[in-house]
Amino acid sequence: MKRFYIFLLLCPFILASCMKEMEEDWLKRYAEELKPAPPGGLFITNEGNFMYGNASLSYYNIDSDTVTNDVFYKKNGLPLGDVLQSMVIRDTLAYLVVNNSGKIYVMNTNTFEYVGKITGFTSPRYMHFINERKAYVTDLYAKRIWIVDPLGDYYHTSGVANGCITGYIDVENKESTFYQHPTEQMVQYEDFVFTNCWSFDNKLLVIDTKTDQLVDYITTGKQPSGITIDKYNKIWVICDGGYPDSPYGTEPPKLHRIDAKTRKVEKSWEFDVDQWPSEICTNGTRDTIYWVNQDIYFMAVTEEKPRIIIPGKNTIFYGLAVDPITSEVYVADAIDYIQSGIIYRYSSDFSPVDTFNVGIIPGAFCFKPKQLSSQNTD
Amino acid sequence: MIKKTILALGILCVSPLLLKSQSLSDTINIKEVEVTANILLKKEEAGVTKTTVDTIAMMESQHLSLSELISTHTPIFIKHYGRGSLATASFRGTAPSHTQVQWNGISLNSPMLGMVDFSLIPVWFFDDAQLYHGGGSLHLSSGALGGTIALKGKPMNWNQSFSATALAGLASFHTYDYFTALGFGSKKWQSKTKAFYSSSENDFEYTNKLIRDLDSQTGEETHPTEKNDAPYENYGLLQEFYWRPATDQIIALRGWGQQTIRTIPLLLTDESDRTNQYSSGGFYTTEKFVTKKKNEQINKALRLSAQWKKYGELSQWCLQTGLNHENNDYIAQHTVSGDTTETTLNANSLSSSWYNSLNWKLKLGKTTVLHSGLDYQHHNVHSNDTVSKTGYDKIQSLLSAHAKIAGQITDAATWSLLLREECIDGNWQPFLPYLGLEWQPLKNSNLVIKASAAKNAHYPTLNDLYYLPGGNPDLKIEESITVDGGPAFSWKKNKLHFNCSITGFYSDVKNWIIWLPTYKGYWEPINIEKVVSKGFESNLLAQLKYPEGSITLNLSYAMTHALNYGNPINWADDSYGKQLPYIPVHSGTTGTTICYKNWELNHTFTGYSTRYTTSSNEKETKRDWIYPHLINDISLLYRLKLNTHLVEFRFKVYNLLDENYRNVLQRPMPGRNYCLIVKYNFHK
Repeated sequence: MKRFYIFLLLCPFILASCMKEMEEDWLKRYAEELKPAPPGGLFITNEGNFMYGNASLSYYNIDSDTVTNDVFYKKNGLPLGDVLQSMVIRDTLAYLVVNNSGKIYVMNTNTFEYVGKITGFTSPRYMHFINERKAYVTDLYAKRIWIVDPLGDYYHTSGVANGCITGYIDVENKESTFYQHPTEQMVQYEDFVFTNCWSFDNKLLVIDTKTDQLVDYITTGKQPSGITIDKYNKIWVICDGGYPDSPYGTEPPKLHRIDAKTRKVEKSWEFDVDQWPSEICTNGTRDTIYWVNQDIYFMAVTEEKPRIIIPGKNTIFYGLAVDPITSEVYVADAIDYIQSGIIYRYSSDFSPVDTFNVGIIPGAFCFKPKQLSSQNTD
Repeated sequence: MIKKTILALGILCVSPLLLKSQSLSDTINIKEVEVTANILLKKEEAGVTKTTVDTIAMMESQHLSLSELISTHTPIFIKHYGRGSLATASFRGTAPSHTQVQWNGISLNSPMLGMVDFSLIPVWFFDDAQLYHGGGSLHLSSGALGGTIALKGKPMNWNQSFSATALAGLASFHTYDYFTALGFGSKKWQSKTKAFYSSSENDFEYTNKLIRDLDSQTGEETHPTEKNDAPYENYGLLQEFYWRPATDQIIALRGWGQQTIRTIPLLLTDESDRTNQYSSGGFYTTEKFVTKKKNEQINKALRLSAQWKKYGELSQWCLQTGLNHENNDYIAQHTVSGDTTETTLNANSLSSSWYNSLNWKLKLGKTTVLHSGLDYQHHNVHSNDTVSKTGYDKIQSLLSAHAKIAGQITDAATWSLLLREECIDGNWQPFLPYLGLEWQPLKNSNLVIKASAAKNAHYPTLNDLYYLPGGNPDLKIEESITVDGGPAFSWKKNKLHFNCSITGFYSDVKNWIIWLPTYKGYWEPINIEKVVSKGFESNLLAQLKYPEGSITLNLSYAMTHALNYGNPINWADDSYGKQLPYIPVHSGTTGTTICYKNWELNHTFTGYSTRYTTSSNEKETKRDWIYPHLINDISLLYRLKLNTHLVEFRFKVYNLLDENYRNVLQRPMPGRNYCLIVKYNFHK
């Protein structure tokens, strides 16, 4: 009996000694499993669940149809954080905007190596390069657009590229009783950057990149969730119209075409009130726009009638992108939002090509250029 | 007869206490009672799986919250978001809203959220915690698909004229606890007052391995050392009055007021308040571009109850009315560059719930008992966020009637049948029956086999239905069919006492409610067609007594498979048949107490197996699952007794092996930490 008691007493201590190894394993790097990323691939940013901190980055090799999930974590033994909102590539460096972690990670796009970060944001959403040493970062709650130096004290010897915030553009709307302006995506026309204000808002703000000042705004439908710009310098804005019983109000969702030069709404399309259009984007030649509205729609920028190109049977599409070179269409499906999402790849004539699993809530795509350029890719 | 009944009830309630801790001073001074096999064979609650948190555990956890008591002494899984932060329970793999918590018959579950924050309930305010598993919870109320935790004070000692207890605790992370209890009265009336004040900087230090800094010049990698930023302050007062207007009647008035203020820490990966400054580099960013975030939660509660009990020769009456008023604020703020502070969330939820019940029990002959009751609940809630200007106001009423008949089939078999019907806002709900059986297969043995089957239902909470944005008024009621059963065995020889039970369970839940993110940018509740929860629970108590002390071993273990059998969303949905997120398959605790003269050494061990964070139970990345949680705590107690005065000194070590563990992704947990408690008790 005595021996039995001693055994029972010792059991918990024996079991507990395994935990330290598990903690170390949690942070282990799996760099040896990763091959360098060839040019012309596709990054998929997986938001992860809000407050779970399980955002991840997947890399899809377009030529070999192979996907590697969680490349940042595997390479660096470091989690990205909470809600990976967007990504932009500049030269060989990728800037990963981690919304609910208040930071932007800088990663080498060839090796997936973590090379720096920019911290101190409130709720960063998107990053847009003005030039090599200046970029704008929009923010959901800061009521300001951040001005950052993406390279900061970039040291060629160490390869570290810690950027920093150098200033901000005040975009607070003191006249509204709602929390405004929450800034989102950005497009540029000449020296002006246009950004949409989505949550409880209906504005497109115009920023002069020479003076870093808010110089104008354009009123849109309620809650403009996405923007893109076509080859004719027309800005396309998609608005979700707000949710039912919202204190900000609800209206039918809208699609606007705005002339970037005159800043006037040229034409508007209205959707049914129970629809929820989103994820507007263009192809590489910027002559066609695509968006999600339960199904995938597209429309030539010179036309006025959209067409369904991919029906969304039993699927809620969450992300959309078009290959700038081949015009192949990539669609993200978050399934139930608490498991690995799926990406559907379609050819330029919308025939299925491939499907592959990625991380939790795949929300955005970023194509890795075949050749290095100084242009934004997001 | 009446006196005998009261005495018998008293003996029944305190008998486990006497068995396990004769040496404790604040037990009632009555003669020791031996437990026999007849106690195993229940009549009125035949088939019910019920466990009582043992007295040693209650005494050891007096300065803690219900979350710590339940997580370290029962196999119920407590999901807590860090020391002092939100803690919810999962009973038999069910959702937090499927565990009901009652305080002297008053529900503590929020009518808006449906759940209870276990970290806000101080163990100091109750003396007895009983767990009704699965369908057995229908004996108390509906809606507890997992089970019910019933919290009560100990039976009144009408012979006690005065008692006073004071407890002071000093613990790691600048934690200070003060507790007092004062009781006085006569054979006619008694008053009990309890108060506590607890505060903590909760500023334990840890190396944040989820953040890495890179030196700009050398490329050297470092992890920052951070302090947990989650201070809390918690205080409350409990007042109870008991009056015996006649020998067969008791009137009880109770009032409980409490306020908690706590800061919710940021996730480990949050770097909004950090700058890229390195001593070795000439980096030019300045501190002015950082965001200081603060999330604060303030919970206020006022609970009042009045109860009248009358004990007749053949019947008993109990009339009760109670109010649970809760006011919760959640404020999220940030300050950029030392500039004006912006409030991004200022949510207030106010609920007033009025509970009324009338229960009647009648003895029909020697072997049968009839029990019936009527309940009426009225909830008035107000939810509001002043920033987004969203919110709702709703009123909900519930009328419930139940009848139970229980009795003996033979000397070796008992049964109970319960029928419950409810009406919510004028809509009749599914009819809820319960049938339980107990059987003693071998005469003169201490083996009892029990079984039960029940149908239960959980109505969507007011947030499920009306929260903005996302509330779904089309939600269906969650309905469950539960069967459970198994043997219970008790054995005693000389100084060794042995008690064990195993209960297998199977629960089929239809229309399970789950909140999921949507493409619209907010979360929405939906019904999952079917969830099956199955497994078994086991308990073992072994006690060896010797002249100068005792050794007690208390083990509990549960295996729970909570599986999603909802319709797959599409062909790629891999969640079908998988374990629900954050539900461990294996959970268990051990408690070992060695008493020798005035010394008591106590060791507790809590273990949870892997928990998945995805519906598809992936292990693709290390963030898809949480590794097993195996924690040891130890305490040493010394008692100094002088006549009616008792002083206790207890030294506790939590997380003895200094494990680096997680309970929820991205939330730090403290390493080894200490607590010194001094308790003084006087009674006459």
